[in-house]
This record gives sequence, C-alpha cells and structure tokens, in this order.
Amino acid sequence: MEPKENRTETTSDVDLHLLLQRGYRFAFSLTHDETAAEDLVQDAWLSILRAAGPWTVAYLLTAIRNRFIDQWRRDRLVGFEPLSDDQPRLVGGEPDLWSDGHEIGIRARALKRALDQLSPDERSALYLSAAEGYTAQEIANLFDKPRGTILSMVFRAKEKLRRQLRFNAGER
Amino acid sequence: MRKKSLRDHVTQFYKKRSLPDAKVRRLVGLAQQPTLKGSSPMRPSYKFLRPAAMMGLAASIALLMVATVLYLRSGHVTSNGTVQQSMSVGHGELVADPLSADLVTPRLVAVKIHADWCARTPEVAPIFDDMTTKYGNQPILFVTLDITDDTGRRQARYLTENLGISSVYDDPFESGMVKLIDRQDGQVLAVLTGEEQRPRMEGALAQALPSHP
Repeated sequence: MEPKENRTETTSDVDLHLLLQRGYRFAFSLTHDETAAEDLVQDAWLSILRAAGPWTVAYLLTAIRNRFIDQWRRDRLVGFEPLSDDQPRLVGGEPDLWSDGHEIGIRARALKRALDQLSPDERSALYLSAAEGYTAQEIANLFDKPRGTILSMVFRAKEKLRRQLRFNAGER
Repeated sequence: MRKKSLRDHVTQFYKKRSLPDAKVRRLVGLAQQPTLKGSSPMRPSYKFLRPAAMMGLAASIALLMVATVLYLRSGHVTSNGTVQQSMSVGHGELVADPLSADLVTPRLVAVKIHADWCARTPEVAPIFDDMTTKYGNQPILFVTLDITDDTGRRQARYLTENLGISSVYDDPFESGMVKLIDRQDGQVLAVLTGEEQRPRMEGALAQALPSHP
C-alpha cells in the first residue's frame, strides 16, 4: 500500500512538531492509553528515522498502525463484517461521515468510557474522520481495507458510541 | 456542559491529547540530526574512526598487552595456555585474590541500554541498580550504554566491539533494557525490559552463577 500524499521531505521544526502530535493522537485513538501511545509513536518515529524519511503524515500513521497490529493480536481488531441493509449505501459520491450531527451534551468521562468500548480500528477511524477530516477513501487507503468496510465500520462505531452514551447517561 | 455534535465531542476529546513537550523535543531533535539524514544509521561504517580514536585504541591494546605479559609472568597460566583458577570460582572468595581469572575476565556482562527518550528506561534503571547491588561481587561486568544521541551510540558501539559483545548492540534505537550476556560464546542469556521479566533474569543469573547464595 502506497500512502497517497505529497511527499514533502521538509524537516522544518514546525512541521515535525505537528506531525508528531498528529501521530500521537492517532496512536492514542488506537491504544486509548497515554503510555502505550507514546511508545507507539516513538517506535514509529524511529522507524522512519532509520529509513531516513519521508516525514509525511501518511507514512507515520501507517507505521503506527502496523506497529500497533504487530503488538496486539490481530483478533483484537474489529472483524471484517459484511454490509447489511441498515448501513449506508455505497453508490453515489463521497458521503459525509458525520451528516447526522445533532447537538448533544456529553461529559468527558462518559465519552471516554463509551469510546473505550469501541475496537481500536473503530476508534481510530472515528478519530480520523472527525478530528482529521479524512474521507472514507482516505481511511480505506491507510487501513488497507475496502472503502465499504470503512463506511460500515464508521457507521457501526457511531451507533455503538451513541448507544453507549445513552446507556451511560441512563446509568447516572 | 455546552451542547455540541457528536463529531465535535470526538474531535475535542482527541485534540486535547498531546505528547509531552520533553519527548517532542527529543524526537524532533533526533529527526533533525544532520548525520542521520541521507544514509541509514543502522550499520555505521568505520570511516568515522578518526586518528584520535585510533590512538586511543592503540593505547588500550598496548596496555592490555602489558597486562597480559604481567599476568603470564605471575604464574597463573600453565604452559598450554589454560587459565588455572587460583581459587574455586564463586565461593565468595573471589575478592581475596585480585588477579583471579574471574576478576580479569568476568564470565558475564550485564548491559543496560539507556536513552533519555525511552519510556521504559525509568522502569528498568532501578532493577539494574538492584542487580548491581546484589551481584556486584560476582564475576559480572555491569555496563551502561547511553544511546540518547549520536555520540552515545558511537561510544556504545566502540565499547561493545571492544568487549567482544557487539551482538548486544545491533539496533541503535533499541533501548530501555538489560541484556545478560555470556562472554564465552556471546550468547544473550536473558533480556529484561520491565519488572515482569525480573524473575526470568534472576533465574538466568542463578543458573549462570550456581554458587550464588
């Protein structure tokens, strides 16, 4: 899989800081553990260093994800579930992964607990689409999975998240 | 509690996270080291062996030779070259004879690989200190390699090459661990990267030093 992105080989100070933080947040979305995310982003960073670059988001995120998969057993990642009727249709243009965004109030701890319930792949896909603005196709390229799988994964993850948040709210 | 969309909540949740500044500085600093750009630092060539280093090496070899000659003349070695141990090894009497074979060439080397940017280092360091206290009188050489920067990595390579344990340091970015090496065959007997491997390390030490109490 060739990460698609302009391969800018600049190693300017600001770029690297930003790159590192983006890598760290992605690693955190996978592990949901600060220390593990630090280790992960550091390992990935050093692997790029050993290969003498390139210092791009796509390479860093791919390196982080590959390392994560190496470290954790593959079966802990989300399975490849086939699409069913209640999932978004794949025809047409690029759908907005967050089109149904109605306003809700959530406490940070409840959100953390709800996100903890998701699989690493679901969490990182949610993170990439929400915070980094990745399209389903871009996530599919990064994860090396079909775009349809990503669409259904994000859809499922959001459903799980809402259900969990409602559950947590009811618990209180 | 302001109302926002789920997307905003998720975004905010993750954007709040950031890698600690100290670590960012170290990793960015590593990426900006001019020597690491271009060629891979994995297998450094020896073209950087500068005259000063060569002289230092020559001096240590000369010193070693003088020491060997003195040692041979002191009668601890038989005519066929095998070392006669002046005392039975490891019965707590090693310190009694400063020229005991074990003191000159320890059988084991415990190497701690340290790097400021390594997250495991703080966990490994106290275990290594404990080992040094507990086994300091045994025929073990305790060595710390600091591979935080380029200079440290170069020195680490010199040291391991000269100790004949170059296999221990085959990855310039592998840190936060203690490796126990048998000097006779260069075999790594145990690797410790955290508290959970302590029993294994102790086991390896007990096996290699059967006389230890």
